[in-house]
Amino acid sequence: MTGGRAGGPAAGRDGEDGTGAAPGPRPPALELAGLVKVFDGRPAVTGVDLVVPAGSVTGLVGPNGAGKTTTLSMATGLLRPDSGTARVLGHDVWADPVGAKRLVGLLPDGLRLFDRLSGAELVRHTARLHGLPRDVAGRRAQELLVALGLADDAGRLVVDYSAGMTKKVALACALVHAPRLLVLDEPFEAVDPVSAATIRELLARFVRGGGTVVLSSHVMELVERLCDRVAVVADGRVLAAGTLDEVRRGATLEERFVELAGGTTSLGEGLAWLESS
Amino acid sequence: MVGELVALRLALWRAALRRDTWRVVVLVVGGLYGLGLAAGVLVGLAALPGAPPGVARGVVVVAGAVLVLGWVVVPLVAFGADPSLDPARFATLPVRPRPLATGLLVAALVGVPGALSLLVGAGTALAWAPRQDGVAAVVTGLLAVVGGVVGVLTAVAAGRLATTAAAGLLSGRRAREVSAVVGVLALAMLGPALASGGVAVPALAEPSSAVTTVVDVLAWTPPGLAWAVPADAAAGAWGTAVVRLLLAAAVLVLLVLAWAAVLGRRLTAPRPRPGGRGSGRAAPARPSAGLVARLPEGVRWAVAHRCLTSWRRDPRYVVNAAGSLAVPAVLVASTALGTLPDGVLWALGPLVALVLGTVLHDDVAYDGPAFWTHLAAGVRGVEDRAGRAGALLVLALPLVLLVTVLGVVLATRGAPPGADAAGRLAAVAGVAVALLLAGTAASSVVSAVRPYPVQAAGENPFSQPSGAAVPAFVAQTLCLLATALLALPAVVAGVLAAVLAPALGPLALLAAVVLGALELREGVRRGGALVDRRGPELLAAVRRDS
Repeated sequence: MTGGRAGGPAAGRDGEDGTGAAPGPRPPALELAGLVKVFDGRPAVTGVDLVVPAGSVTGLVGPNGAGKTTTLSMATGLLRPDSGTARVLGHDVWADPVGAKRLVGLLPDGLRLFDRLSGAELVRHTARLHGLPRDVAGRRAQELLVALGLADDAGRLVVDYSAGMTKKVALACALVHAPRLLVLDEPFEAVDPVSAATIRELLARFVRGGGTVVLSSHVMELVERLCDRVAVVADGRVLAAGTLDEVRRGATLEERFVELAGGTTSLGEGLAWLESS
Repeated sequence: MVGELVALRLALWRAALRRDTWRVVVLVVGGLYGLGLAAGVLVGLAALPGAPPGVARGVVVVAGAVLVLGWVVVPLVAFGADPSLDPARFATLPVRPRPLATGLLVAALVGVPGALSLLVGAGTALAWAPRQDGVAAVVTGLLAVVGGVVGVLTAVAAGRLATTAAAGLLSGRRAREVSAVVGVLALAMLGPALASGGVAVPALAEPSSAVTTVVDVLAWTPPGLAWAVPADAAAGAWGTAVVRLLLAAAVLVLLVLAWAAVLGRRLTAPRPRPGGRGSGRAAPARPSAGLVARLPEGVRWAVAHRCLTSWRRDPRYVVNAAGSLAVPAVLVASTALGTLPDGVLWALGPLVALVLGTVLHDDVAYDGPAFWTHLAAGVRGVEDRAGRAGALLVLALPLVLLVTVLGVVLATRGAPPGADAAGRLAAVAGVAVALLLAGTAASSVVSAVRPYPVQAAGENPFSQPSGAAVPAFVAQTLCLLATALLALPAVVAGVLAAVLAPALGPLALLAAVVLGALELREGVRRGGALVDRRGPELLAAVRRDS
């Protein structure tokens, strides 16, 4: 077990659910069943089944083009699946979109923001799109920007932000309506180490408060450090899923991943001239 | 170096044409249009020998100087429109600046504008050679050809120098956007400017008029030198002609040397990547104030607030807003010059209303991928539609009413004010409001049907994403037809009231407002239902993974 997050697995938290509204077992934070998506005859996702228990931090790992982004887009209502279902805490994303989306905070990868707004305006605007009143939106935006170290740049337009700052302001937007499930697509790409530490702390606090995090990454070390559950995705399918130890089976995640995805580390012949100098 | 760069340019063309059929159409249509334009200019030049020498000289020198100006200004404004010869791309290669400068200069001539400019430049011989006989005619013709070619080369070199030098200055997002907006507006104003220029032509026949003095001065300045050479020759002033030609050549050499020097600096210190982090000097944005900051609570007003911010900060919206005022500006200028009757000014307000009403017909595409925010937040379709329409009306209603009043006042200059005038004003305002509301209603639906790709906020407003021409045309036509249909009853009522029964004007206005409001509500509802049903498909349509 790598250090960092003490405790954590979902089993330890089920009993602590203070709301007590629903008797019986809590529904999973995210439940994907048979998701399929084909783009122009090219299959991107070929049947993803995944259960993310509430209270967990689940990492979706896979190479570029594995279908991580497509899967997360279908799970959050941005992309209509060809078949299959996605449920957020029991709400069907495609049958009851408003009920499901209320509970989800989303940080997509590579999608623009309304970047002609300043950082503060963007977070406030997102909060108000979720129906929060203006004063609450303002207060929360301010607190989030301070926590993420963006307070000094809150008045600048997002279009002038660096890639890392853009990620952070998008994270603030994902959090501002107090979701129960955070879906983060490549949240640490282009983020400097200091900001990454800030984000990790923020996520830990979110989970301590009973939230659930699903994040995608192709950096295995990061997933090992941050997540208690992991799903290995390649070629549009889930190759393995479970707790970190279940998936790793004693090896490192990277070794296990290369084994599962059937990759090769040999470059083959040729390229001898590269060593000429 | 010259051969390689020309070959590179041709190869880039070939690749672009093979990848995209529409490029071929654009090239053929553009080429034909350019050829037609050039043919027109050549016919005009061939007719010039019939005009007084002063007129011919004035026209050729001024037109030549405008050509030089065009080669300087257009590339500055149209940043990134043709990056194939951007010097920054050669920064990683081991090339020396001077051969590169010569090569880029020649390569820049390969293309429709370059070829046509050369054709027209050489064609100035048509204006001068027929004025003389025998050897003198041949020499004058040759001088005209040489002068024309030198003039075009000067234009291209000046343009390249300006672009290269400005690349550093314009690398900031804001500077680029401001220059682009100014450029679009300047081009929109070109027509009226040329029209008023035409009025000045007769004055050229008089040797001592102010216009002639301007031409005399221009003929000794760098943009005019080369173009004035054949006029001297035709007038028998051979010495002056040679001096001017030598000066023109010297200007050209100096320009190329200066360009090579700037190029050398650029090669060693390339500008920062456009679209990248625009250094630390971006100032905080001005927060919204006044009415915008006091919009009511609620999701739709949050959407409206964001849209109003875009109208203020997004260059595409700024161009749209300013562009809607270009039509009335041209009409007012034309009536002032006497080329159009004052009566057209009655239509001033309705015209602006028509333009502004249909402005939202591709609004989801203007959001671009950022539309995911609405989708992820589960914003209901009606809230989305109502917010956009609300933002537009907050801006457009006062503007349209203002322009309507202005138009009616200008159209009835000198007429006595009275009850009829007020009634007519109300009727025309009714027509304008009907068009604005009907257009907004139609746009609310059309923009939810099939958005077509538009350029992103930071991109050059001159460049249209490939493959957007036909869907854009279809969507615009559809939107205009729907607007016309929806507004028809109120427009007919308004026109009838204005012409036949001014006393009924206020009634027509009231009817227009009520009918328009009902149409808008229906448009927002239907458009909203479409957004609810097809949200993910809309997002997929506006995602352009460039």
